[in-house]
Amino acid sequence: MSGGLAEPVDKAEELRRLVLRLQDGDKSAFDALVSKTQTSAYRLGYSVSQDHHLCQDAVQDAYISVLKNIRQLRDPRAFTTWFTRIVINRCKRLLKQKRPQSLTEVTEKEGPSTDGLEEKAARRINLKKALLKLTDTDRTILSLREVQGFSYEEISEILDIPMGTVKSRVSNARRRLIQAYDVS
Amino acid sequence: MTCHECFEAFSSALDGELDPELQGAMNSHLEDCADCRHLRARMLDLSAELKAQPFPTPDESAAREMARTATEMATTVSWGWLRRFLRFPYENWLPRFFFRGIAVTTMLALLVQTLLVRFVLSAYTGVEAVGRSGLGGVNDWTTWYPGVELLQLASLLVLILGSWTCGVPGLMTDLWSGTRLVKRDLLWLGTSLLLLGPVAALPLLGGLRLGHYLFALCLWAGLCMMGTFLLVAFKTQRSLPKLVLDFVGLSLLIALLEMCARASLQVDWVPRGQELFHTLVGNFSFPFLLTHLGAVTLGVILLLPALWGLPRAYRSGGGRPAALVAGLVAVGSLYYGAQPLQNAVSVSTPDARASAGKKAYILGSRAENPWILAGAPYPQLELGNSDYGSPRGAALQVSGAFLTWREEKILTSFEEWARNAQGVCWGLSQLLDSVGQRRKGTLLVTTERGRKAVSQLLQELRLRRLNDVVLSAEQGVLEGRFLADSGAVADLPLRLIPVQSESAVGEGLNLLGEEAGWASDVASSGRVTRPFPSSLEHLATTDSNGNFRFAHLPKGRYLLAFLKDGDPMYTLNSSVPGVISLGDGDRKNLDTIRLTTGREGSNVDLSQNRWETAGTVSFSGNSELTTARLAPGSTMTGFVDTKLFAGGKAIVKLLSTSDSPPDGTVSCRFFTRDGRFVREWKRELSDQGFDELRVDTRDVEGYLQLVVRAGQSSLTVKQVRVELLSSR
Repeated sequence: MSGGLAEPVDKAEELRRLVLRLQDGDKSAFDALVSKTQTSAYRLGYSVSQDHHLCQDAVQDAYISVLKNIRQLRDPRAFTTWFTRIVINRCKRLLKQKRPQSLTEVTEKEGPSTDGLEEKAARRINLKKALLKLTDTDRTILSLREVQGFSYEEISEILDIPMGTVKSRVSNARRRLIQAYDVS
Repeated sequence: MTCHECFEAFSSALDGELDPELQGAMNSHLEDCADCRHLRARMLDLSAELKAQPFPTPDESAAREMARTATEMATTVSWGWLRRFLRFPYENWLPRFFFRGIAVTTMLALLVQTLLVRFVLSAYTGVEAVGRSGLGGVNDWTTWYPGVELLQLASLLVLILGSWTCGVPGLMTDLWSGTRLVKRDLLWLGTSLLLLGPVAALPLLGGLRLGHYLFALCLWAGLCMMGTFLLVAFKTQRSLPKLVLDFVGLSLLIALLEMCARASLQVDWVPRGQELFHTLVGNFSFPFLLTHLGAVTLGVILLLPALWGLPRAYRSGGGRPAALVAGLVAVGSLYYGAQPLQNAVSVSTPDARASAGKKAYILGSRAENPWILAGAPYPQLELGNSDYGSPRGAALQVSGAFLTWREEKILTSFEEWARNAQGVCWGLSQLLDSVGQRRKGTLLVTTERGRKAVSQLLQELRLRRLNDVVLSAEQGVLEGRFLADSGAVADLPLRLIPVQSESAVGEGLNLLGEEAGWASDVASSGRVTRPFPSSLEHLATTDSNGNFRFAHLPKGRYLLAFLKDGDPMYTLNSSVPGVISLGDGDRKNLDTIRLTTGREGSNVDLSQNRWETAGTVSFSGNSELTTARLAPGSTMTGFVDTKLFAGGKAIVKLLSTSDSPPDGTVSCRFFTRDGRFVREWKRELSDQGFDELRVDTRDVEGYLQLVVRAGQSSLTVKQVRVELLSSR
């Protein structure tokens, strides 16, 4: 694991202990678990959904799901993979119910405001527009790779697809992102 | 390598996942292809851009909030089925109608039961009989009452079903889950609870005073109002000015409720119609009462349109005949329906007058001190003129009869009751049980007169679980005679008290004391609240010659007791039997029982008293002196009531002669009235032939037992005297 939800070894061990405590019914472990994982969960949720509120709902749903199903997790070391999958699934489900902001709204809400930051902000808006033009699958795999920094192997495990598919999907998603960015 | 393959390759290279074998091909392609170089540059830029995206970064407090919310929602969501279940009858009309129907039916049943418990069954406590034309099924009355537990369950059912159909549990779960509510829902919640409280507390009314019930209702109403206000304040969006107005209104209502609560504590309403109701139920049959009740209802129903229609008919000039007819029918129905009320007499409760002028005496004994005459104060309810119009009056009458020990008076009270009793009656069955033995609906009495009286009573009244009366077949007989200083004791109420133990004076006294306490209660409260404490089945009265006779006695042990006004008595009559043991069919004739009134300062000597002896003792007398000659080893024993010298100090003097050197003892043992041994004085006989014992009873009343015992030689006792030294 190299970053984001993919925690270093010592943090992974800490997470494993927290999961074990939570499985034993220690509710205080849940607070610590949320504290340890919520930043990366927010990053993933936001990068997949590109919507702040939707991201919040998805992450909250994911934690509720964790609370309900933590005892079904047989290997506590696989918590990160398991939790990432849950966040992604919640995001996708919510995205089906409610599409994120339209491009117009993005432009209106987050349009360039000051001259000094104009170029940077314009690039950010264009990137967001380009991401919104991508499919959920492309955004997800880009988020896992670029934002969360998961390796192909880990992505393969999280999405339950072969390594070769991961490689081609990452490549295709990048190509489509470039196209979408250039168009916007 | 194609451009597509090259893009995939540098994508992998960017992620550090490129196969090293492809590295060379990729590089060579990039050198040749400007588009791919451009694409690579664009990809690197966008990758950096993606990584540099701003993301929301929640802090520690947000993490705690997130964990708390997730925990709550995880809990809440898992109880979703319960919420649906709790709201089920509230949100669906058919189950709501069904469950409310059950609740209302149960509530009505509960109300009827409560009225029965409060006004009918409580009035029937102790009711043993009704008139022949009265309400039947007297034996089943107690089964009307289903028991407090069942009533509580029913009220709980009403509370649950009522609150369920009113949506109370659903609202509660909404409150719990933090949902914001609207004022209408909360007012509905408060009103539902307010209305359900009195219904749920109905069973309490059966056992509580009405004032307590009203107090509880006021308290409940106050709690409901305050709770509703708090919920409205904290769980709704009601504006502050409106809340202030609500608070002012609530304060006024709470103050009003407090006044009501204080006033309700003073309420101790005993329904005055109870005795009237008893008279009705005791004298009229159920169909009769129903008919008249229906007539009254019809009258009320017709009276309302008549009263409403007559003025209108007067103004408009039409409909007058119909209104008149309705009015006349209503008045007629009311008159007909009220007939039982006219027949029912108004009753007055006679005052219970207690007099402590009589004492009951038990002629009992312990093995070591025979002839004890134990007395106990014995209050008596005076029998006034016949007052059998009210159950309470009748109960007091029979209680008074009970305390006279006179069979003829008791039996007369039966007859008078049968002639004059109105409605139901109390205590009569208890009295019957006290003058006979009940065996499965049959009463065994010991006299023919008793059998006739009870038979006559049974013809007039219907008694609970008593259908017949027969004369006892037991054959035991006990006879005797009472004699006082002035001659035969006539017209003395006597009673044989069955006892269990050998030394039964205490047992008999306890029984009389219990009766005395019972009589005091009756006298103070004016009503009979508990059963007669003992049995009066063996009663007799001495005739003009002082003779008495008890017949139809079963085998057993008895104490003989009598009831008499005046001073206490003592007896030294050795024929007083103490505990009388009677075998099966025994016929025992007691000797004359002599009652002598004690006088202060009296002396006791051989000529006036009879002695109990052991061994060979011969009494002989001449014109001057009575002597007793005791054979060696013999004793003579006599009792003196300390009333003789009014307690205090006395001297016992003994004049005796002996054939040889004096050999013997004289002793004096002191017992209290209940037979408890206190102290003994004893000395050897002196050779002077004259011995004295100084006795000090320390002002405690009781009996002195004088014992003269001969030693190895015979002893002649010439005189025994007890002389008073000092009085209190």
